[in-house]
Amino acid sequence: MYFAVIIKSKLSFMRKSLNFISAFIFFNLFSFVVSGQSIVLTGSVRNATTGESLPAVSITVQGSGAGTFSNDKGLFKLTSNQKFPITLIISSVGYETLSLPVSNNGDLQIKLVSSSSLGQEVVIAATRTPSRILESPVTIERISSAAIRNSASPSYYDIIGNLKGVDVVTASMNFKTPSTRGFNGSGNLRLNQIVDGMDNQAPGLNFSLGSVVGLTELDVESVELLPGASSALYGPGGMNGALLINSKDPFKYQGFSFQVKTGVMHVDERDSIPSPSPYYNWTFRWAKKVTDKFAFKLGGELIQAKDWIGKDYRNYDRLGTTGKVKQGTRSTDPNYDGVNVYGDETTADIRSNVLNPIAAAIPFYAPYINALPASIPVSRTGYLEKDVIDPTTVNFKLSGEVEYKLTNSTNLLAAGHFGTGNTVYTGSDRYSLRNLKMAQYKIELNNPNWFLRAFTTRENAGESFNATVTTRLFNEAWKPSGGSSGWYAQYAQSFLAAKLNGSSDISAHNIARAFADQGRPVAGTPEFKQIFDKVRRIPISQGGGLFVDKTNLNNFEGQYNFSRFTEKFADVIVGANYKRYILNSEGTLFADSAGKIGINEYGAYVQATKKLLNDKLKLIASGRYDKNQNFDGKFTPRVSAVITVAPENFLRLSYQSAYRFGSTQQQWINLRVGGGTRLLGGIKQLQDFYQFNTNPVYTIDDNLLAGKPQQKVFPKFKAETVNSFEGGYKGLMLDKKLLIDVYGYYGIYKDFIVRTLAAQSVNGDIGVFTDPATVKANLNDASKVSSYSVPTNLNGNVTTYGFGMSLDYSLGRNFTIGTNFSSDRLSKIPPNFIAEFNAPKYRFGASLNNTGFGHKKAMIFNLTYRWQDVVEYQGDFASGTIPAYHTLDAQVGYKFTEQKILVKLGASNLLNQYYINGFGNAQVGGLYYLSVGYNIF
Amino acid sequence: MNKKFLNPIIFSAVGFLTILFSLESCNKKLDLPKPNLFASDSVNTTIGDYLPTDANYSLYNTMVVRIGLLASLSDRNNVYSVFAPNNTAVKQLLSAVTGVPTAAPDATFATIIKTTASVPLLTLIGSVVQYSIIPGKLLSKELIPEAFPNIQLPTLLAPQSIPGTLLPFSLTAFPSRRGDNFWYNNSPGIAQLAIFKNGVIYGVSKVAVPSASAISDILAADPQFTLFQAAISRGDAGQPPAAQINAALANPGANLTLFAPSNTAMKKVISAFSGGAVPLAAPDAVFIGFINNFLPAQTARGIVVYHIMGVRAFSVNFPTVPTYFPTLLNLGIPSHPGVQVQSFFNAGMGVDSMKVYGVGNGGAAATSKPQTNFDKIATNGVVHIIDKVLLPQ
Repeated sequence: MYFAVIIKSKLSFMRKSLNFISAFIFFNLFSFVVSGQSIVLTGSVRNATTGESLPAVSITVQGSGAGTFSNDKGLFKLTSNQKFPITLIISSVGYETLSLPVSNNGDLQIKLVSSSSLGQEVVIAATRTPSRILESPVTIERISSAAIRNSASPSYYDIIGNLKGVDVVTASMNFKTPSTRGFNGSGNLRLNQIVDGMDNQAPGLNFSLGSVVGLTELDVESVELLPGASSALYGPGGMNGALLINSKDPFKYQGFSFQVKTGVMHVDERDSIPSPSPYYNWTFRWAKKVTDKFAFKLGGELIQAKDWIGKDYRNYDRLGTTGKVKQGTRSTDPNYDGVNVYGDETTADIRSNVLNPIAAAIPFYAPYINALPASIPVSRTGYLEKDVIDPTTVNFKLSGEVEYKLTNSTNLLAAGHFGTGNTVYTGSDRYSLRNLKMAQYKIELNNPNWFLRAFTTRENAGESFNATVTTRLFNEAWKPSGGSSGWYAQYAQSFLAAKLNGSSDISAHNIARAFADQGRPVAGTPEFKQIFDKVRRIPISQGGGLFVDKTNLNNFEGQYNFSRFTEKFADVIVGANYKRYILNSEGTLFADSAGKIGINEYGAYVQATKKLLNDKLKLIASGRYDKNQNFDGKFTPRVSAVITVAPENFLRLSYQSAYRFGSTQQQWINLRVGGGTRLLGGIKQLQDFYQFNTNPVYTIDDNLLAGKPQQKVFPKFKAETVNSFEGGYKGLMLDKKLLIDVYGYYGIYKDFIVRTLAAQSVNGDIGVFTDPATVKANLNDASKVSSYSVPTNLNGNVTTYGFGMSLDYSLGRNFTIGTNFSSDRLSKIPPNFIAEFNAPKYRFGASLNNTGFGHKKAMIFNLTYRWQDVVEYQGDFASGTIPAYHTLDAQVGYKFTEQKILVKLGASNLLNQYYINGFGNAQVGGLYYLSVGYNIF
Repeated sequence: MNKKFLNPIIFSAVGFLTILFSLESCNKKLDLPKPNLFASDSVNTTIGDYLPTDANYSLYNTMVVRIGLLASLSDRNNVYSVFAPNNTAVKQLLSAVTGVPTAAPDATFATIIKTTASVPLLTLIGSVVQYSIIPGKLLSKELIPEAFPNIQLPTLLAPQSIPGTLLPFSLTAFPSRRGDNFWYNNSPGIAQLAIFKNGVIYGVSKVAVPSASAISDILAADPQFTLFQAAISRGDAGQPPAAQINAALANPGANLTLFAPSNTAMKKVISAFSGGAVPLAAPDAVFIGFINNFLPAQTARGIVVYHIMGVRAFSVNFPTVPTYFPTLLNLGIPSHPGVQVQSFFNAGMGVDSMKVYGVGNGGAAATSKPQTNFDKIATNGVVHIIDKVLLPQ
């Protein structure tokens, strides 16, 4: 009933829109007549088998630039100055291209025959120029809008995770970070995400926000993924790939579309949040070609649900930003620090801080106290993640674009994407991103031969807060840890009193905790909320948990294709860009309490393509130079070759290099995180500020724990680079029904950027590090030791290698079956190197898909299966084992062809087998939905 | 339907589903938090389980039951080190209080323990039981220190709390060990009976009886120390309160050993000091007057502190050969050799007598004998009565 109301109202809206469109068509027709055009063709395009109208079909006049697209009704109108007879070329992905001679004006009824699109899709990402995916010089994956339409995944971002060689870390339902070839993590920095030419990385927070503020699902035309190094064309950052998401052209994809997904999740969780809980995802897109020169589009998406939450309550042995799971629970380890329990990171040694002073004051207890362990670390009592992070996740996206054709080939467009909402991100801690806002605005002039683009990324962290820090401060706000009547004084006295009454150590600890926690606010109560809200709204710089981030990025870039001048020698393109970051966190994230910090970065690239041996060999050479004001300049080359070994069968070989400058955070962060460690940028000014030069810091490692501190001196911070060698084969076989793609690669990373933990005595006393019995307790005692996590370049190379293969077979009758298998390995790493590689040794995927079967071929279905091997996950927040897991997504749908309505019943993680793909991150279960879409193309 | 298409489709679909069903087993769930374990699962018996089963300690068990402590000793969340006196020791204690001969059967004493309504007796039973137990600690035999001074550990006996804190004011006891022999204060150990789920039990052959009195109280209550008390007062003359010896002897937090010369001993040395002007037969008041008027305060202070050790040493803690131990005099004169002490052990690892040698006594030993003269326990130390004044030079 609810859907019916929506559909009815939308259809009413559509009728009004069509009237409006009709008025404009009339206007345009009149203007064309006045201009004296001689050919005016109208018609419709339909599927020859099902009879359904086909939108976005290209209809061009052969040998001229004239052309148009069918609209959402499958109708088109083509005008041209040419004379009859002409030949129309009608094409659409998934259909056989039709060449149609036309001699007279009139109404054309065109029917297209379905065909396999295996290997025929056109990609741009691989060379910045259009080419068939079969002929790509490097490995590339593509997701088309048709694939999105037929997918079982609730979000197009989820489909990326099913591509071969791809890993995804799910920090929360709306915060998913894909990566390839290892070094994966929530918000990883080594994969560029580019949406319509705009780098989607939040300039201050550093993570890519494609799933939060990117395109709405209905506006995605294609997703192209370049695994591996990609800096040569896309600039710094693309160490492990580039993800390019392209939106639908409003001239081509017209009309109003909407999709309503309603589902349930948390269907069997009784320990966390209401079960089951609803899932809503409403999306619309409206595009209109107002005239042949002007079109616009609007899109919006609203997602609301109870998020997946982190609920790993195992005990964590934390040491700075490293650690491991250890045995123990809240009631059996007084220093318990649960992975997804916050506030319990505050720890103090009651022996040295309270009991020893008692021994000094009451000598007859001294021997008894002295017989206790030399160090008795005790943690404050924490709260579960679900208690401190509101699981209600909301994501609202709004985007719009206006496009004007200045000439037949030159377009001027302005676009904007805005996103806001609540989600959860995992960095050095778990962050609740509340009312996060991010916007990207773009102005672009484009032409087949060149483009000029300016865009800006505006970021506002809203009311986002660090869950760990905030909960620790909440505990302090309720009852301070220190002082003669503080929590630890009460705890330690109660502990000793219980011991003197006969309690065992752990029993005394539990008695002491109960005593010190008397009156502790219960999660969810007004008292809890009042204190917590107060703390989370105070900026970090003022002793709260709120981080203020209003960092902006301004980017200018352009590209020119010189091929028409150089075609005798080679096809050449040249491009350049300039970026300026303006860091603005008001001292809460960056060291910018004195004012905004600017960072300039610029770069230029050139690419030449030459075909040889009767076009059987294509050589492509690219090079790029970039300079960041805080780093030395970097040049990165790429050389690739595509060899045609047989028709529709291609070998590819490439050598690529890529690099990345340290992120803005790795340059300028100055943030004390949950474990008490201060994250510090890698530039020298920050190290001087904390007097590394006069009060030495010592590496936190086994030597330090053994009482043998080793001084750490940080060298100049450099860019990280990777050199990657890759070979692959892609080809069609078995009457073009079987598409095979195979690749292998070997990568060598140099100057790998890693965070190094270092400790500094608060009073310049090295003695706090020389007693093995107390050094660990001292490390966790902020009054004695300051600990830092500083990015630095690793000495020595890190190598990776891997392979992948996929088979896709067109079974006929719109059935396709596919399978893929891939592997990524890390080898040759320096000792004690924490790589955060985080890729499974093996992963496997399979899919069975149909885009039309049954009565009128109106039914569709999709099954997608994925398995990945166990991963020893390393992250700044937490490290540990991710068990192997598999997921099965499925959907079955029905197309109401005449009404243009698609109804789908789908599920991701159909069998509700909970899994994590990032340690300490959300546990993901099944999501079951019913989707009703109108005019989905 | 066209079989040319159908067959590969069905074949593929079946193949796909077969793969799924063969692979789609349950995902491994994240491990749940694992609690730490704190005691061997192989030991399940508690102290409270064991005590009623050992006939040699039945009277102690009866006392434990009478004061309602058995449940605590059976609690697996607790841990204790129990120094349980055997039946013979309990009978000796009760016999001294009730007059029932020690030769009476165990059952007689058990009945007394179970049925007595005497508050003093019940108080004694409660205090000796609580004093026999070190709470919150499993002190296995190898953990009892062999080195002198003895470790001072609180017992369950806590007559009051420490003002301004959550802590009880526990009376302390002093386990000690020399090789295989061990003692609880001066109570000779019999054996470590066993280690249980919640602690350890030792058998001892003598009841350790706590005291509610400080050393100063013991001196004040005993007329044979009036002269020594006068010397203490004389030594404290002109001293600030915090530095006064008497204050230290009254300090409940102190931990001292006092070799207390009797009046007889004091008279001998004062008479000699006066050159015979004060005859031995003179009344005590004469001696006190001499101390107050003729004995220099510094001299008095020096002599008194030479009789006090800054640690607690029972007779059983001294070696069998004369050995020097520092006294409070060493606080002012660190190079002073201290006093020599020697104990004479009997077969039951008790001590029959002690000899103490002052540096200025010309080799003549001060003797503490009989047994009732030494190991007089106080809340803040122990007193050994000696028959000679120790002279530091």
